[in-house]
Amino acid sequence: MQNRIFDIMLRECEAIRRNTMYLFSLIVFPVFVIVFFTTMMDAGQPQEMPMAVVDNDQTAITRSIIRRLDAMQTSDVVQHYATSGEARHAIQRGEIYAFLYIPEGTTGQLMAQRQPKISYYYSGTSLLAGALMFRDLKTVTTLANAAVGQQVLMAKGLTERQSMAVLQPVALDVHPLNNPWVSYNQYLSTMIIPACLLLFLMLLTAYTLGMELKLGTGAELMSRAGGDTVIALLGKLLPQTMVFSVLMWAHMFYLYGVLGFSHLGGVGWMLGLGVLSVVATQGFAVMIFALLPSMRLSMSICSLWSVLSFSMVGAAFPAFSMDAPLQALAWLFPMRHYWLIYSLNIFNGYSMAETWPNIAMLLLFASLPLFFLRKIKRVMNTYVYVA
Amino acid sequence: MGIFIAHIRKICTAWLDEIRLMAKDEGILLFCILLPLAYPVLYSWIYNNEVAHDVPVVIVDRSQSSLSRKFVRMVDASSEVEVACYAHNLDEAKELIGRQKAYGILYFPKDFSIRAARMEQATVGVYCDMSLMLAYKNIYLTAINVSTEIGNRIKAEIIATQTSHEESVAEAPMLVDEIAIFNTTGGYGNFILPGVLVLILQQTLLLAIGLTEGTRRERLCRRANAGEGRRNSLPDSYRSSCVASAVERWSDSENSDGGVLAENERIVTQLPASYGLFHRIAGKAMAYLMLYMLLSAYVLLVVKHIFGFTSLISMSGYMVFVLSYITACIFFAMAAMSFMRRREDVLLAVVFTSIIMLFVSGISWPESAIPAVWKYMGWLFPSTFGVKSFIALGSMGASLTEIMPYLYALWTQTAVYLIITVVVYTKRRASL
Repeated sequence: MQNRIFDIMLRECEAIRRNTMYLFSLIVFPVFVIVFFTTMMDAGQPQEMPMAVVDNDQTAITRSIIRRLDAMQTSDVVQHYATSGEARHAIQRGEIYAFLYIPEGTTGQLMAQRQPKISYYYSGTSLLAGALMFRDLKTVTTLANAAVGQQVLMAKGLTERQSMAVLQPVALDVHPLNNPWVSYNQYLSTMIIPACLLLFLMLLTAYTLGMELKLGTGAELMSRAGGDTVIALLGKLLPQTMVFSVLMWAHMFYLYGVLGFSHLGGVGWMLGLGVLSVVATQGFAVMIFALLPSMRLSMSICSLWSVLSFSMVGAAFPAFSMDAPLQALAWLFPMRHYWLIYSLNIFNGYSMAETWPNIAMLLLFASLPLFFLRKIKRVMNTYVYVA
Repeated sequence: MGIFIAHIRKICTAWLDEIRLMAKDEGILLFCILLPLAYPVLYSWIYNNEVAHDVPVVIVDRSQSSLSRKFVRMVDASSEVEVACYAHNLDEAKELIGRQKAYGILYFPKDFSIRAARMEQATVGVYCDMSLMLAYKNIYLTAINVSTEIGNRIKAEIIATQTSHEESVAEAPMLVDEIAIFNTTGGYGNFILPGVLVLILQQTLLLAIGLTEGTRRERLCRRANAGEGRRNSLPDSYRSSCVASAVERWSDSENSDGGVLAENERIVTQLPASYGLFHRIAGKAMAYLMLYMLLSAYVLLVVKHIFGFTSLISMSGYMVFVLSYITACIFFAMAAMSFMRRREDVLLAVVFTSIIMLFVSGISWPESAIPAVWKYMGWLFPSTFGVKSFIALGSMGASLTEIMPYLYALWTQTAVYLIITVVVYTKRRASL
C-alpha cells in the first residue's frame, strides 16, 4: 500500500515538474503573496497621508495649529487652497484625503472667548484614511483646547492636577489587547495571507484532479492505485498537502517569529492549525470535484467559493452584522473556521474549549472525500473530457 | 468606398464568429454572464447592513455607583455598542470574549466615583479584542463620546459658571466640526463595493478572453496532434498507454502550438484566410465591447440602484468612463491572455491576481501608503485607474475634468496593450 501511494506521489511530483503553471501556482504565487501583503502594510498604519488646508484667517495661532497637524504621524499637509470648493475638487482628484477649513476671524473670536468653530472635512470613501486622519485632528484640537482651558482655570486658583481633572473628569485607559500599536499589518496579514494560500490550494486540488480527466489519465491513475480510491487520492494530494503545510508554517514563522506578531497560543496551535486547515480545504475541494466532476465546473466553483471567503470570514466586516442566512452560510467556509481558531487560540490564547466546534467542522471538511469514494472512482475510470 | 464596406463586413463576420464561440462555451457563459449577474448581488447582500450596530461589550463594574451605572446606560444607548453581559472580574470578562459573547470590556475600578467626587481624574478601563478592527473602532469611539459627555456634566457642576455660554467656552474654547464628505455614513458597503464591482468587470473579461483563446489553442493542438497521430486520440487508448506517456501529457505542450497553431487558426475560427489581423482583433474587441457595455450597465448602475448605494454618476460621465475602461480592459486581456497555454491556466492566473489587484488600486489601503514598487505595478492594470475613476464619479460626484489623468492613463494602456496584442498575434502568424 505504501509503495503504491509513494508511486503515485512520485507521479504527481513529475507532473508538477513538467507543468510550469502548476509549479508556479504551488510555489511562486504563494511566496509572492506573503511578500506582497507584509511589505504593503509594513508601516502597520498608513503614515503621512496627504491633506490640505483652507486657512482664511492666516494668523500665528491658525498657523501653529496647521504646523502641529503637519507634525502628526499620519497627516501630511501638502497644499493650501483658497476656497473649500477647490479643496473638494482635490479630494475628487484623489490628491488629498481630507482638509481643514479655518474661517476668517477664528483667532479674534478665540481671544474674545466667543467659541469659534473650525471644520474638518474628510472623505468617507477611504474609511481607513478618513478615520486615522480625523484622530490626528482630534488630538491636536483637544491639546490646544486643554492648553487654553488650563490657563483659565489656573487663573481662577485651581492647582495643575485639579485643572486636569476639571478639563477631563473621566479619562479612558485603553488597552487594544495583543495589538497595542493597532497595527493593520498584524490585523490584516494574518487573515489575508492564509486566505490566499487556502484559495490557491482549493483551486489546485480541483485542478490536479480535473487534469486527470482532461488528459485522460484517470484510469491509469486508478490502476496504479490498484483500484483503491483512497490510495489514489492520498498519493495524488499528499504532495500538495506537504507543500501547503510548509507554506502555512513558513508564513506563520515569518509573521510571528520574524515580524513578532502576537501569538499567545504558542507553536503547537500553529503547527496543528496549519495542517488541519490545509487538509480541510483539500477535503472540501475534493467534495466539489466529486459533485461536479468536470474540470471547468469544479475549478469555477472552487474559485468562486474561495473568493467569497474573503468576505465571509468576517474579519473586515463582522459576521454578526451580516444578515442571519449569511451568518449560517459562513459555517461552510473553511477559512472562516481557520480565522476563528486563529483569533481565539493563537492571537488571544484561549483554550480549545472555545473553538472545538470550529475544529470539528474542519475535521468534518477533511473527511468529506470519504463520502464520495465510489463516485470519484467511477469518474476517474469512465469520464471523458469534452472540450 | 467598396473596400471600406468590405472591411466593415469582415469585421462584422469576425465579431459574429467570436460571439458564436462564446455562446457555445459553458465556462464563458458562467464567468461572463452568470458571475457578473450574481456576484454583485451577493456582495451587496453581504455588505447591505453597511455599519456594525450594537457590538456586544461586557461590563465589569467594581464601583457599583450611580456614576458608573450612568456611564453603562449611555454606552448601551448608543447605536454602535450594546451591553451584552456583566462580569465580576476581568478574568471572567475575558472568558466571555473567548466565547464570542462580547468583543470588549469596560472596567470601572472601585474608586471610580469616589475619585470623580474628589475632583480627581477618574478612569475607565477599555479592553478590546483586536481581531475585529471594526468592533474596536465602535467600542473605542463610543467610550470616548460617553466619557466626554459625562465629563462635561461633571465639569459643569464643578466650575459653576454664570451662563451656559461661559460653560461651553470653558469646556472647549474652540469647536471642531467634523464633516464626512462623500460616503457620509461611513458605510462599509459604499466604501468597498464600487471597487469590487469595477474589478469584477475586468476579471471576468480576462477570463472570457482567456478562455476563448485557450479553447481555440487547445482545439488546434488536438486537431494537429490527432492529424499527426502523436498524442491524444481516443480515450480508450489512454487506458492502455504506458506510464511515461501518462505523465508526459502534463508537460507544457511546447511543440504542439506555435507553427501548427497559426496554420490551423482558420479551421477553428471558421474565418477565410483573407481575414487579416486587423479584422480579427477589431471583431473580437467589438464582440466584448458590446457584451460588456450591457453588463457594466447592470453591474455599475442597476445593482447600486437596487441596493440603494450612492450613485452620483452622470450619464455622460458614465459613458466616457465605461468606454475608456472596457476598451482598456479588452486589450489588456488580449495582450495578457495571449501568453496563456491552457484554459485552466487562465483561471488560476486570474483568480490569483484578483486580490492583489484590489489592493494595489488603493481602495482599502490608502494609495499614499503603498510602497512605490507595488504602486507602479498597479499601473499595469486598467482596474487601478478604473476603480479610482469610478469612485470619484460615482461616490464623490466628480466631473470628467477631475478624472482626466485616469482617463489618459486608461487610453495609454489601451494603446500599449493594442500594440502588444498586434505584435504577439503577428509573430504567431509569422512563425508559419
